Amino acid sequence: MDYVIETKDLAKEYLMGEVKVEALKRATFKVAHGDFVVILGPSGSGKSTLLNIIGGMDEATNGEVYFKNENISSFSQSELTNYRRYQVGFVFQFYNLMANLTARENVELATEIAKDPLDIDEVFSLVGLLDRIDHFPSQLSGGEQQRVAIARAVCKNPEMLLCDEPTGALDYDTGKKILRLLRDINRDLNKTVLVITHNSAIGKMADRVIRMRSGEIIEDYINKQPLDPEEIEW
Amino acid sequence: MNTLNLRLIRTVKKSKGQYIAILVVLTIGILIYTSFNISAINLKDSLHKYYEENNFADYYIDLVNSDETTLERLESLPQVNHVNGRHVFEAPLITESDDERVTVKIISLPNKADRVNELKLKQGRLPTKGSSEVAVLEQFANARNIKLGDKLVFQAYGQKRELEVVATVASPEFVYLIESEQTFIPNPINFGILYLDDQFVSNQYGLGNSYNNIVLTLYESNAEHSLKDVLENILEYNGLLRITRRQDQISNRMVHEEINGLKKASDSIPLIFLLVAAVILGVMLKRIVENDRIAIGILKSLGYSNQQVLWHYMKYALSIGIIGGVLGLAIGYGISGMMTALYVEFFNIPFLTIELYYQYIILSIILAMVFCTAAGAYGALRISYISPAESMRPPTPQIGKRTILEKIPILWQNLSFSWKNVVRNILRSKSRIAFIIIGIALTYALLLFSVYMNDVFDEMFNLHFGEFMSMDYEINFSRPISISNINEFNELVDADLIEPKSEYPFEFIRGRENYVINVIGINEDTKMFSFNDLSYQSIRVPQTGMIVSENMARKFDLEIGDYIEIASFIPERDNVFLEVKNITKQLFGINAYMNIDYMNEMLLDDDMMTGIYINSKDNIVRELREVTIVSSILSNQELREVFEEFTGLIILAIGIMVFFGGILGFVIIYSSTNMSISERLLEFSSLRVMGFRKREIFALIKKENYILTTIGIMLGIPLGRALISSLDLIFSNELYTLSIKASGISFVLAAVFTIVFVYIAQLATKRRIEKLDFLEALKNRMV
Ligand SMILES: Nc1ncnc2c1ncn2[C@@H]1O[C@H](COP(=O)(O)OP(=O)(O)O)[C@@H](O)[C@H]1O
Ligand SMILES: [Mg+2]
Repeated sequence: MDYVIETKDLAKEYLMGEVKVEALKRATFKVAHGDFVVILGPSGSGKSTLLNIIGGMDEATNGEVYFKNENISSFSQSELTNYRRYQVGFVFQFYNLMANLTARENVELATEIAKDPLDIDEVFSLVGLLDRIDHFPSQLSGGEQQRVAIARAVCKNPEMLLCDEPTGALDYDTGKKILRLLRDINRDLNKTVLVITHNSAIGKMADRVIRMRSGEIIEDYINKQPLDPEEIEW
Repeated sequence: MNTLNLRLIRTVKKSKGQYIAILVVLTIGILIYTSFNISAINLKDSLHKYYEENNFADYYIDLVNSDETTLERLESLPQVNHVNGRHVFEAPLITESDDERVTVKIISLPNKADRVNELKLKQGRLPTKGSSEVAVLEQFANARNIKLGDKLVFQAYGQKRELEVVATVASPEFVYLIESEQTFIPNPINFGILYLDDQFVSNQYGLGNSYNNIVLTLYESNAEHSLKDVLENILEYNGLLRITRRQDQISNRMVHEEINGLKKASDSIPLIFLLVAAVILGVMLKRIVENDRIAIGILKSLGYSNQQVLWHYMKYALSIGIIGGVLGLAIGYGISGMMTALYVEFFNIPFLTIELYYQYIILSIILAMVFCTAAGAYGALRISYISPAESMRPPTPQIGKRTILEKIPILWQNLSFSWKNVVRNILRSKSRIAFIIIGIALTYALLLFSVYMNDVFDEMFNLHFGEFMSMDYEINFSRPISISNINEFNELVDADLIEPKSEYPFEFIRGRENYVINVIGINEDTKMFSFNDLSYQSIRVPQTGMIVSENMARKFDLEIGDYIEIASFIPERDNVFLEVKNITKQLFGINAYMNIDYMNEMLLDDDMMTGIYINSKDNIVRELREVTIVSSILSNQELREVFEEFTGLIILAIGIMVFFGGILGFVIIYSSTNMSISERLLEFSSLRVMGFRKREIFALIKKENYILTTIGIMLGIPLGRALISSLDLIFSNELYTLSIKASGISFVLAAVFTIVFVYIAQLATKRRIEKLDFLEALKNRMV
């Protein structure tokens, strides 16, 4: 089996003055190519910390992360930059678009430095925003902004998408549509997708569920029959 | 264009005000730097070209008499190029008004080709041989409206002569026309130069070839120093009075002081502007970067490298550096052209050479870039330290530490909410506050300095010509006469007081230093001078020994009790050593003072005087009109009036300085208020939601600014003082000593100016508060 991500005893400590915060403890798991993975856990359980380390945004205090058998824990700064540039697409809870760039320009910001980017217009029609491509973020709704953010992540044509609470700031219906979009990207474009959420219901659509509490992985199982996003309710 | 640059440009457009503000400060810094420097060089070049083309003399020799053979001996010296003998004397010009005193210096024009100090003909033609025609120095002709064909009458050796004006001329010898070192400011209405034909003067006064002034040029202008002894040897029996080297010649010296002042000013003042621009830029960039944390995180998450992100922000700084550098250079170059033209006119230099100096172009661009790079690096370098994950996190909320004031409950509880808010904010964001306070302090110091400069010349003049020298008139005789004649003057004029004076130039020698200084002999109990020692204690004229002026003491490194050698100009008489009894404060000129009897005894032969001082309410010009021995009358009142005209120029310069200083204050308040509005958007939005009006929110900002302005001004007072005393030191020279304390009004005026500029800056930011949609800020999370 070909694993995209493999972690071994991953740990992260923060020093807050004298106090040591163990955000992550001995996290070990694997993600296969093309999987739709949902990481579940209450707020503060270390999900974002884990995702940031996997995405090369942060460094672990202990343990290793392998990306396609390469140990990214030993990467130099510029290797990490390249890793983020070519292999990873991030989607954040608060969309985080550049306010003074249009939707298209926000995406171009990513494609300009990518190796083999997807066609921007095609991706916009995939996320259903072709008619709003030249709008500025302030002219778009929250759900639409998140679609632009997803387009930005996908257009780079990375190996995997890392999404930190992508529906956290959205209403129920809009949230479901975003999940549908991520699911489509996973299936149609054959991208590995990791979604973080504190909403356990979302776990039902995953191929694989990792459950966390207090920095530890307490459950890790394969979902035999993932549901469609439309079928789940919360 | 790549998208990142697009974002930068849009960011700049959105905060135009901010960007332009910094650009202006930088541009002004570069502008002053280049315009002052280039003007100084252009002025120097123009002057030297003039000197070279018109054979400006390397040596001026005053003596009692000389003959053909003396001149020939001088000419035969290997270093000497041209030698001219001249008759030079001063005489009153007879004018229509009885109350006016006009002194002219008559100079005979040698009948030779390649004259030393060749005249530059402005109008007409030079006097013909033997004729009673006269060429008039341009400044004098202009001031008195003298035209070709006019008749001038002057009186010398007891005779009146009528002359016909045939030319107006300029001379390298009188680029800066002043009567003596004491008068300091040109007064061409009352003092002028007339050039007469040599043969005419010789015949009229039976002087023959017995010249009392010799000018000469060398082949190599630099090989001068060694020649002095040689000249003294040759002229030993000619009654040598004074040898003046080119660099000590008064007009030349004044112009060079001006050029040096310009150079010094261009080294110090622009630096302040550049520094402030750099500090503002650095702080601003730091703010921008801090507010852009999340955007930086996004860029890094997208795969932009540290260098790319850093470069993104550095471009902001560098674009200011490049635009400001080029703009400052272009405007500065334009201004330098105008400045040089003004100076050349002021100094009557008939050549105007304006050149573009490439080293200044390169230097100023480099200067601008270096400052901006440093500022940019200070602001943006921290980007590399933030890990991408870290920067994505919302900034940790300020730990709810209590401020000092909150620990004093009595004080704290009595503050209104808005004051609590203001105080809290001030005490929390220390670096921003420090920036504002330092900025205001700098602004205040600059303004104080400008206002002070206005005061200082006024004060110096009043002190010098009112307190230090309190006589109403100073009369000089065409030759020394016995002191006993003083009674005759008492009968001639209705004077409150008349005192004799004896004034001669003597060469002072100490160690390697030697310099000709006017020694003034006065009554021991003189009422005309009031001397103060260096600690401002009144001192008397000593019976023996002498008092020297502060700058003379500095020049020769003299202390009280030291002896200094004085060369005698009387043949076969030994040099004498005299004791320095005291050192006096003196703002203008360099002098030594002695008891007149002691001076006559030690340095001269008889009880003679060369002039008198008069205190009189009368206009003594009329009364002394027919007294032939009088060659010049200087009126303190007149000098003061001339000075008032002269200050018009200074006031303009000060106006410009105040304007520039104000711009600094404006930019500092404007940009820091702008930054603080951006940073406190969420806070203000919450206040709006709570029902605060925009006006009330703006009042919070105003209160904060007023508190900081007050503190800034308080810090600015010592800073301004330090600036003044450091510039006093820089700008003091042999001709004048700047040492006046700034008056109380200066401090107040500078404060008023500062507050006005702060107020204007606030008004400019008010628009932003009014335009801002606070609720929008709460709703959206964009970067
Ligand atoms: N930069 C940091 N400094 C200190 N503590 C941190 C930092 N980042 C995260 N933490 C702490 O680590 C723990 C896990 O945080 P996080 O991974 O963000 O959890 P989650 O995403 O599951 O809500 C929390 O207790 C959080 O306070
Ligand atoms: Mg989280």
